[in-house]
Parts: sequence; C-alpha cells; structure tokens
Amino acid sequence: MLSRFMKRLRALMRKDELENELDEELRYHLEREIEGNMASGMSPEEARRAARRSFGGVEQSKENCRDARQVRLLDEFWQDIRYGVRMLVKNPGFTFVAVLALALGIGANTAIYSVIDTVLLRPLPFAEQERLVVLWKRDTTANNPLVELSVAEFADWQKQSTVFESLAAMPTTVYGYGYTVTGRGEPFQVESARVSDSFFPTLGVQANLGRTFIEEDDRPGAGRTVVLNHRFWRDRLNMDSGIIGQQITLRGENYTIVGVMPPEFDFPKGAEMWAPLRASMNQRTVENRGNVFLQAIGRLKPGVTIEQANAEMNTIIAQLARQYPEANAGGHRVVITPLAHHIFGDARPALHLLLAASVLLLLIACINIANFLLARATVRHKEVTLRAALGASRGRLVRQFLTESVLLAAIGGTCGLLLAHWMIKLLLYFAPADIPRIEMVSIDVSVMTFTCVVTLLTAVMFGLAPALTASKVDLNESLKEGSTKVAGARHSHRLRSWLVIAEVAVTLVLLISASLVVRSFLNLKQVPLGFDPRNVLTAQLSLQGQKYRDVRERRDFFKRLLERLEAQPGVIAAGAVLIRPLEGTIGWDMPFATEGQTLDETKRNAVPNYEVITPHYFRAMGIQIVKGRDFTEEDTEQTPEVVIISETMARRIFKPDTDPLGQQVKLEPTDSESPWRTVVGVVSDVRYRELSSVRYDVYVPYRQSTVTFRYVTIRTATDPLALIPTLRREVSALDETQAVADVRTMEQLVARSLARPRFSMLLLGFFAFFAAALSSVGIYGILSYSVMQRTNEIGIRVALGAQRSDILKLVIRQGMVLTAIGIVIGLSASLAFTRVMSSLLYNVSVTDPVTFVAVAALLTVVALLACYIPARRATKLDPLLALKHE
Amino acid sequence: MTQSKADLLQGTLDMLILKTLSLGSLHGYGVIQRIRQMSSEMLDVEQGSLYPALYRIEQRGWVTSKWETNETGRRAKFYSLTRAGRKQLAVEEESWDRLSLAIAKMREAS
Repeated sequence: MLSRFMKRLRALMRKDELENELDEELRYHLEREIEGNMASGMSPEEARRAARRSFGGVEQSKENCRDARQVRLLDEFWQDIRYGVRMLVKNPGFTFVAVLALALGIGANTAIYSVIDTVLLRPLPFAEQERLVVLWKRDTTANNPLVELSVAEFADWQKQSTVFESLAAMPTTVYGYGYTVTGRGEPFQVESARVSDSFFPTLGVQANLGRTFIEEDDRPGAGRTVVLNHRFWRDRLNMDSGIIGQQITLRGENYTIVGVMPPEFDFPKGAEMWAPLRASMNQRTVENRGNVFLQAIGRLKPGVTIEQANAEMNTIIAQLARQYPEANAGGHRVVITPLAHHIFGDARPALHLLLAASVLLLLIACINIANFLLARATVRHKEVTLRAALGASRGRLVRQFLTESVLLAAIGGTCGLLLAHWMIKLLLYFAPADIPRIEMVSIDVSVMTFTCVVTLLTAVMFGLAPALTASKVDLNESLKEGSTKVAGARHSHRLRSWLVIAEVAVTLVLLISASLVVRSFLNLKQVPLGFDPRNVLTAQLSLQGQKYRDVRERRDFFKRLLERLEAQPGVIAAGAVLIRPLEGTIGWDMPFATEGQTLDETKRNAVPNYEVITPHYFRAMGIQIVKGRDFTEEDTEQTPEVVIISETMARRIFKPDTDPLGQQVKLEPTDSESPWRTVVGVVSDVRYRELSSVRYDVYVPYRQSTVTFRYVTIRTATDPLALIPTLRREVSALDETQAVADVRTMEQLVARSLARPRFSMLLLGFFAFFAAALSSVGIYGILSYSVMQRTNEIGIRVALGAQRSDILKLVIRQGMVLTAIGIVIGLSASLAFTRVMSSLLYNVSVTDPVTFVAVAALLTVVALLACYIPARRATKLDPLLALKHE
Repeated sequence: MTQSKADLLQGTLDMLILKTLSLGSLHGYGVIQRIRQMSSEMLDVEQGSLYPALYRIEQRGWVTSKWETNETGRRAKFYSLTRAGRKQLAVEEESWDRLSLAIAKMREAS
C-alpha cells in the first residue's frame, strides 16, 4: 500500500525522468524488433518499416502507459488550472467581483479568528491551567455578587479545605495598590499585587531570575521582599541580571528584589510587581476579619470537580459564619470560576458574535458566487455538451468545474490573507485595550491553517452545486433540442431561487443583529452620566510614605494642593475623590441602614457606592446638586455627621412624599460605632462603575472619614490636557517624593467605557452593510438573468397585448416573492440568533419589534430596487426582436 | 502473418504476462517473444497493449521493474513477479480453469 503510494508520488515528482524511461524502453523494444526482422532475412530498411508497422502508434501507446501510471490526473489537473485561468481572465468583471467578495469574506474571518485564537484559544502561561479556579463569595441576602475575603478567612480556607492541591490569595483588583518608586531617577508609580507565598506555586510558574516567594517572606514582620515583572526589569532596571538581592525604595521603604518573572507572565493583568501579603501587616491586621480585599486562586487536585469544591467550600463558609457571626453573614456562598473563564469571560460573547457574523458574511459571499457560477453554467451548457459528446466523463467535468472554483477561492483566499493583515491592524486600532492579550494578535501558523481550511471549504461550498448542475448532461436531449433549451435549466433555476432566498435570510439576520447593537450603543451613549465629562482632568495620587499615615497630614496635603490648583489660571474648580467614575467595575461598597430598620432588614438593602470627597468635587465634576447643599470646609470631625446621597437612592429608600433632607442614615450598620448621619443634599445619579447600570451613591465629607482620596479632579476653562504639566509641578512643589499616575480626562474615560460596544458596533455594521450590498447584487443578478431567459415569453405577452405595467409586475413579483420568503425565514432565524446577544445589549430587547420591522422593510426596499432595474429593462423589450430572440 | 491467431479475451492478457514472468524476469520485448513461443505462435501480443498492461500491473504491485543490462550488454527494463503477483496468477488461473470448464460443458451439452 505504502509502496504503491510512494510509486505514485514518485510518478508525480519525477515526471520527466519517467517519460525518458518510457521512451528508452519503447526504443529498446523497437530495436529488438528490427534485429529480429533482420535475423529472419529482411533488409535493414524493410526490417525497420515492418517493425514500425507492427509496433503501431507510439504516441497512443505512450498515452496509454501514462494513463496506466496514473500521472494523467496531474496532467489533467494542470490542464484544468490552465483552462480555469483562461475562464477567469475571459470574465474579468465576474472574477473581480468574486475575488473581492471572497477576499473580504475570508479576510474578515481570518482577522476575527486571529483575535479569537490569540485572546481565547491560546493557553495561559500556567501549567495545567484547566485545574486552576478563582474563588470569592457572594452575598445571597444583600444580593452582592462579589464579597472579598479577609486575610484571616483566607488562612481558614487554606487550612480547612481538602479539594485543593494548593490555595493562594490575591487582591480582587490590582488597582489602588500602586507604589511610588524613588531613588531611581524621577519618582514613578508601579501597580502591585500583594499575594500569598503560595501564589506562584499554585499557578505553576517560576521566576526567570532569582526566586518567587517562600513561606518566610509572607509573615508579619518578615523582611520586605518583591518580585518584579519582566517589563519593569527591562525598562526601569536596564535588564540588570545582578539585580537580585539589591534594594529598591518603595513608599520610602527599602525592599529586597528576590525575583524577576518571565515576559509572558501578566497576572493579575497590569501588575508590575508582587509583594508578600502579610509582610507589611502586623498580627492585628492579619487577624482582622473586617479588612476584606482578597480573592483566592486554587489548583484543584486531579479529578476533583468544581461541584465537589463548591460543596466543600460552602460547608467551610457556613462553619465560619457560625464561628464569626459579626464578620461572616449567613447569606454567603462561594463562587468558583475556572481561571480561563475568569480572565476572558466578558470578552468572549462579543468575540463569538463577531466570528458568527463574519462566517455569515462569508456564507453570503459564497451564495452569491454560487449563483453567478450557476448562471454561467447554463451559458456554458454548449461547451459542456460538446465535451461530454467527445467523451468526457461526468466526474471529469465536475473535477474541472471544481478546479475552477478552487482556483477562484485560492485567489480570493490569498487576497483575503493580505487583507487580513491590514484588517488586524485596523481591528487593533479600534479594539478596546482591556481585552486580554489583544496586543499580541498576529497572523501565525494556526491562523494560516484556518484560512486555508476556510478557503477550501468556501470553494466546495460555492462550487459543488454549480459543478453538479452543469455537468448533468443528457446528450440526446441537448443535441436534439438545440442550443437554447437546456436540460437541467429548470433545476438550476430552482436552485438559484433557493440561493437568493437563503441570501436574503442570512442578510436579514446580520442586519438585525447589527441594528440591535447600533441601537444599544446609541442608548448607552445617551445614558445620563450624572456628571459633565467636558474639560475635566483627573489623575491618581496616592500619598505614600511614613508621614502620610497620619490622616491629618493627608487632609492637609490635599487641601493645600487643591487650593494651589484653584489659584492657577484656567482652573474653574479642583476636588478630590476616593475613586473616580468609570474607572472600571470597582469601587467601595458601603452598606447602610435607615431609621427603624433592624440589622437583618439592612442586609436586604442594595449596597451603595461610597465616595469620600472634598467640597469642590461636585463643581469640578459637574455633578448636579438636586436638593440641599454641598459639603463645606465647615463639615469637620467636630460638627454633626452629614451625608449626601444620590437621587435614585433618595427616592427609593424613604417613604414617598418624605423630604430626604434631614433624614438619618447610618453607614456600615454592623459596626456599633457608626454614627447616624443627616442627609444634607441629594445629587444626580453618577455612573461610577459601569455605564449600563445605576447604583446608589453615598458621599461623605473628607474631614469626617479616615479613608483617603485616590484621585484629584480638575475642571478647566480650556483644554484639560494642557494642565498636566501644571498638575505635576504643583504636586512636586508640595512634596517632591510624590507622583501622579494614570492621568486622564473624563471624556477619555467615557470613551474607554464605550470602546467595547463601539468595537462590536463598527464591525457588525460593516459586515451587515457588506452583506446587504452582496445580496442586492445577488437579487439583481438572478432577475436580470431570468429576464434574459424569458425574453421570448415576454415578447409573446407584449405581442398579445400585455401592458408595460403588467410586465413590470410580472418581473417584480418574481423577485419579491423570493425576497418575501427570505425575509420570513430570516426573521425566524434572527429570533434564534439574537437570543445569544442579550448580554451585549443595553436597553434593547433582543426581539425588539421596531428593529425587526424596520430592518425587514429596509431590506424589502433594497430588494425592490434590485428588482426594478431588470424589470424596467423587460418593459423596454421590442416585441419583434424579443420573439426572434433565441 | 497468415496464421490464424486466437483473439485475446479481455482480462486474459494480465494472466499471460504474469504467467511468462513466473518463469523468470524479462523485458517487454522478451515477454512478447515468450508468449509467442509458449503459445506455439498462436498468441501475438502487440506492444500497444503490452506496455500499458505492464504499467498497470506494476501499479497494482504484482510486478516490479529494474533497469539491467541484457545478454548483449544493452540497458533494458526487466520486469519480475512479486509475491502478490504470484498469488494473483494463481487466482486468475483458477478462475480461467473454471471458465473454460464451464464453456466446455456448455459445448458438450449442445
């Protein structure tokens, strides 16, 4: 079997050599024949002639030998390709449109696939990632989806659980744990993650240089150690390999660098540095169960399922709730998510939708080309009949047609690959930066393989039906009936009608999906933000160093900074806040109680977002004060505790018709020390965490809270970006060891929040537009062709007295019936397709009737236009000429 | 060529080639000669049928070919039977025997 295969392969590879061998073999035979003849007494001349005569046709014989050797297939293949190229060159218009459609379709698929491949499919740089899970708690009573762990509770989990090979702790966000690095040029900020010593071993990663943490690093009072990420080491430390063991100054304290991680290690995303969880804590903070900021990462033992882990962890949590009723409320349940899903979860649906859309687009391109090829197959019927009559088998004809399709697809695929290269660049330009690993997207081997497979599939998809139809030749019928009546024409026509119906249906699905996404985006864009994003500059400023452990120093620093900033020309107002709006789905949760609520009742309250602000914050952000007053510098530790709440909160938490002003609210009701606060103001709802939902907000004046600010916000009269140097100068004028980071305008933050929906919208919109264009070309094509075919019939109708309007109706009806069927099928398909989109839509129902009707109507109009042109042409037919038309 | 010659039944050529090669390897010309000899000049195979048949049989793995020098020192392509070819020959001979027996019976009956 193998040797046969090798022989055939050899035959293909060494065609010339085998040709020569064949020549030589036959020459030898001829010579022996001649010798034999001479031996029986013929003259040399006679002998040669006799030999040649008996030998028969040499060429014929060679051909038969080649056939037997099965090199034929390859020869024919080249023949088919040459023929195919000729056909394509002869119809440049068709070739151009087909290649363009294919290139766009294949290019779009390749580009989207390359993104999915890099972002979702490529394994994470962790050993056996499928066993890694992320754990946190949710509160079923207060309906809070994310409750973090304290260090003490994590330690309990670690001790009591048996389902994990190892368990590690890390903060739920890298955010807000920035350190200022001094002593290495200009002070700069790095993001850090404080992790337990088990963090790196759990993930199964090792340091590139030095080591990761050991147990001794991660206990209260241990020497300060850090592990750096590769970029930090490369950009800030000049890839100094002697760095291990050296000191680095963070927040004014010395840390020993113990390791540098490999370049691909980026977890949690954005962390530039890792420090041991407990080294900077004292025994009291380690045991404090109220200080919750952690989540756990576990490596499941082999064979343990998530359900088993779930059961065990919930038992442990219930036990802890009995043991520490103050800290662990009874409604807590564990949430376990596979790590890969945790990292990519929210990028997944949008990317899958885009892939589905690009596949639909390619499908439409295929349908269109199949349609063209079918039409052409009918025209080429004469040629096919002739070839069949000359002895071409059906298989041979199908092979030839398919070769042409593959050729077309290959050209389209090659152009598509080139196009994908540009499309990826465009994609990366528009893509939101917060999709993990998006910056690594490129065309690699797996993407190329994908493109090749798609190209071949495409060729079969658009080529097979036309090939089978075209090669179906009934010689008797065809030759008898002459050239205009074509066997299989009716079959081909029916097939083409179905293709148009399919095209309309698929286009409708794409158009409806795109419209829903566009509407959702517009809704999102018009969401009342609750603040005025124009001309606002914000920057992170976390005060660092021993001095600022004193809350009065912190307050004093900010007060002086804000006063200096407000004294600058062009600054309208300056304020400070705990966490600025739209910084991501993070924030400070603050439970509350109203007067008369029992502790149990408060657990059912929605949890507001908590902000600590300076008096001018609302002015700087442009947040409307709806009722009451702003905070002033007179709201201090000595004066009565006050609070400002958001509009929706004020409306919902008090009985109707009560004036919220003057009402009492207690924050953190589980803490018996918390004071009752008087509501002094009501402000507009601000979308702090995400654009798509309104939460309750509570604001507390900065002199009545020990929680520190993290952001300054400045409203300017002109371009806010022009103020950046002033901001930096003023900060270092007050304290040169402090640095600002993450400087953004509020408009930039709004744009960042809109980036993902904008991305989906742009791409889907492009796909849908292109699909609509292709399918109107398709409808136009089939009708033009049909009018041409029916010229004779139309001529008779006109001759018999049909009016122009009758003919118009006749043709348009034909097209519109197909469109109508397509739309009905498309509408039902859309209902199924859009259901998977619900998580991507804001304020639009997936079955939004307005969208469905409007898009169907739009597509009908487009189809009508596509019908009208050929219909008009039909009415202009001269009946005399039409009757003569063959 | 006045002798009357038997027409070759389709499919029998393969068997004849295999049969001649079962006695030793031969080049194409030799195969024709030997068939002529062995059939007492009754069967005459033309090269136009021989070579395609040889190539076909080789493709199926029943014979292999090798370039060797012949008795007069010229290079020629020699074919020889493979084990699969020997089996095939047995199969074909058996089916041929059955066929000729059947035909003989039919003729006796009439």
